[in-house]
Amino acid sequence: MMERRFSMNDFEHSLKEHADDFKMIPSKRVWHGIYNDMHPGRRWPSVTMSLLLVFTLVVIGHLNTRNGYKTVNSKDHSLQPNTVASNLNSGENSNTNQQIALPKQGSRIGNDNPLAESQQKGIARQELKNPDTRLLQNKTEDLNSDDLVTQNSKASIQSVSTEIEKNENSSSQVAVESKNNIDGETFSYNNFRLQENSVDPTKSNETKTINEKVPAAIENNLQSDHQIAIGNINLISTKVANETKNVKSREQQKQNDLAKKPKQKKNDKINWVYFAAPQANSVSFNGQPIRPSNGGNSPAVAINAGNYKVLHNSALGFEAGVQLNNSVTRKLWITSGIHITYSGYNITSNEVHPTFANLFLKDPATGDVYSKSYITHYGNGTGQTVVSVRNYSLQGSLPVGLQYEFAGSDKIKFNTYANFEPSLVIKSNAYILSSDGNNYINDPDLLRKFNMNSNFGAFITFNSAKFKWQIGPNVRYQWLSTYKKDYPIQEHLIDYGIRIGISPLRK
Amino acid sequence: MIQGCLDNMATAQEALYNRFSPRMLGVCYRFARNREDAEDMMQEGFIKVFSQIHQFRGQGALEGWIRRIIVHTCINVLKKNKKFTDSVDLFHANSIYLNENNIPSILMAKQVVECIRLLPVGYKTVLNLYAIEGYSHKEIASILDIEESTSRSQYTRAKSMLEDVLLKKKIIQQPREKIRMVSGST
Repeated sequence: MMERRFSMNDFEHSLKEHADDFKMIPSKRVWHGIYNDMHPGRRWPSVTMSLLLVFTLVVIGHLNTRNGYKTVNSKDHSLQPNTVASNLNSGENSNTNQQIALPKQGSRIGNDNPLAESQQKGIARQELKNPDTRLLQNKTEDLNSDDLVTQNSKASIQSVSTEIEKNENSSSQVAVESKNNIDGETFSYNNFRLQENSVDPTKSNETKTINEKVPAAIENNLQSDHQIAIGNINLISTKVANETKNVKSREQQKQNDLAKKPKQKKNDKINWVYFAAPQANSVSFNGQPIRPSNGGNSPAVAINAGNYKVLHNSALGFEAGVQLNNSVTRKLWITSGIHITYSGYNITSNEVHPTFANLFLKDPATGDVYSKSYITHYGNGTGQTVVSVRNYSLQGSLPVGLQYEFAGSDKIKFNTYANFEPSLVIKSNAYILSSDGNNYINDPDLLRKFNMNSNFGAFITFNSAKFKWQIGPNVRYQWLSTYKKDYPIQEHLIDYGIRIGISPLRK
Repeated sequence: MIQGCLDNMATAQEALYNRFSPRMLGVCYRFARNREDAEDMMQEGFIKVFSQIHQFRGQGALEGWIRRIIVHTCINVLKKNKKFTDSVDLFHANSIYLNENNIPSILMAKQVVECIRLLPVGYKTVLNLYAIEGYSHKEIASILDIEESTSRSQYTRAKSMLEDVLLKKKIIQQPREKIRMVSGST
C-alpha cells in the first residue's frame, strides 16, 4: 500500500492524518491496573483486616471474662438457714414415722405419779408426731453460711446420736422404773382414790376398775414406750442417714451453683447491640479557593469570589451496625464494633454545554500551586435547566469508645456515649466547584480513602419481653475533610439522627 | 457495550478498552517522554472514562469523547509533573536542541510521531492540541493556563521546528515555491 505523502501545503491536515494512523498495543499491566481499580471486590485487605480486628477484640473479651470472679456470697446461696428446718420437716413430713424423739427439757422419767407419767408419755407420743424443733431452731439462728449449715447439720446428727443414747438409756430406765413403780404408783393412786372414796363410797367400784386398768395401761404404756424407743432408734438412725445424704446433696448443689455463677457473670460483662440510625445529613465548608500568584489577565483564569458559593441542601442518610459492649464497671462500658454509614447532601446545579473548567490545587509536599482542567456539563446552579447532583460517602468504620450509665432504675436507664471511628471510604462521589465558581467538576482522585469520625449521643434503655431497647439522639461528625490536602476547601459531613438499638435479653 | 460499562460490567469495559486503547496509546505517546509514561497516562485516562461514562450523552462519537478525556489526562499529568516550566519560556526557545538521529526510519506515521516527540514539552503539547486534536488557541490557553498569544507563538515555533526535522530526515520535501525561486534567480 502506498503511503501518503506529508504535504507542507496542508501541514495540519497531513500531520493529523499521520498521527491518527499511529497505533500502539498496550501491555497487559495497563488493563490489569484499570480492572483492579474499577473492581476492587477481590482485593479487600482493609475489610479483611477490619473483620480480623473485630474478631480479635471478641476473643480477648471472651478470655478476659473467665477470670477474676467474686467469691460466691452466702446470701446468694439457694440454701437459706430457715430452710434447714423446712428441709428436715419436709423430709419428716414425707414419712411420719421418721420423727426425732427428743425428750422434753425438764421432763423426768420415773414420776411418782403414774397418771402424770402416763400423761408425760402421752405427751411424748404426741411429740413424736410434732417433732420438737427447738434444737433445730436454736441451731438455725446461728447459721450464717453454707459451711455453718453443713457443720450444724453434722452437729445435729451428733446431737441426735447422743440423744439416741440418752433415749436408749431413758427408755430402758423408763421400762425398769415403770415396772418397779407400778405397785407404788398404784398404791399411792389407790391411797388417793381411797381418800376420795371415803368421801364417796359409791365410787369404790370405779376405783377398783381404775385400779385394775391403770397397771394394764401402764404396762401397755411401757410396752409401747419400749417399742417407741426402739422405733426412735430406728428413726434416728434413718434420720442420720438422711442427714448425711442431705449434706452431700447440699455440697453438690453448692458446687453446681458455683459452676453456674461464672456463666451468669460472663453474660453480664459482654453484650451485643444491633442498631440503626436514620439521619439527616448536612455539611460545613471551610477555606478559600486558590488564586494564581500571577493573577492572569486572561478571563479564563480569573476568579470571581462572589460567585464561589455551593448551593446545597440536606439529604437523608443512615448508619447501622453491630456494637460490642464490654463492661469495665457496673456503669461504664468500653464499646467497639462495626458501623456502616451512608451520608451526603444534594447540590443545586444546572446543565450547560460541555465546557472547560479549571481547578487550582496546591501540592501539600512542596506548597506549589498547580491546576487541573476538566470538561464538565454542570453549572453552578444559577442558570436554566436546574438539576440536582448528589455528593455522598459510603463508609465502613471500626468505632472505639465509652458508654456511661448516669441515671436510671431497674426499668429505665439513661446512658451517654462517645466514640472515635476510623473509617474506610468504600464508595463516594463528590462534585467540586471550579476555582472560578462557575461550574461543578467531578474528580474522584481528590477524595480521601480514609477518614476519622466521631459519634456522640445519649439514649434510654428499657426492656420488653425478649429484648432490651435503646433509643436516643445521635450526632456524627467527620473530622477530616472529604478531600485530599491538594484541594483548598475543607468539607466536613455532619449527621443528626435517632439511634435505635436492640439486644436480646439473657435469661 | 456502553450500557454494560454503565452497569460496571468488566466484560463490557474490557471490550471498550480493547477497541480504543491502541489509538489512545498513540495519543498518549505523543505527549509522554516514553512508552511507560504513555501507558500510565492511558491507564489513568481509561479509569476516568469508566468512572464518568454516565456523563456521555451520546452527542458525538464515543471515540471523540474518550479522546478528549485521554488528552486532558495527559495534560494534567504533565502539569502535575511540571513539564511545562522549561518550555513555556520563549526566551530560551532558540537554544533548544533536537536530536533527529533518534527517529527510526520505518513507517511514516511513526516517523512523524517520533518527530513530534522530539520537540520540547510545551511546543509539542501546543502542537498536539492545535494541529492534531483540533483545539482552538483560546481553548489551549484555558487548558494550559497561558495567554492566547503565547499559544499562537508556541505553535508557530513548534511547526517551524517540526518542519526542519522532517526536512532533515527527508520525510517531507522542500516546497516547490522555494525551488522555483532559486531556479528563477539564475
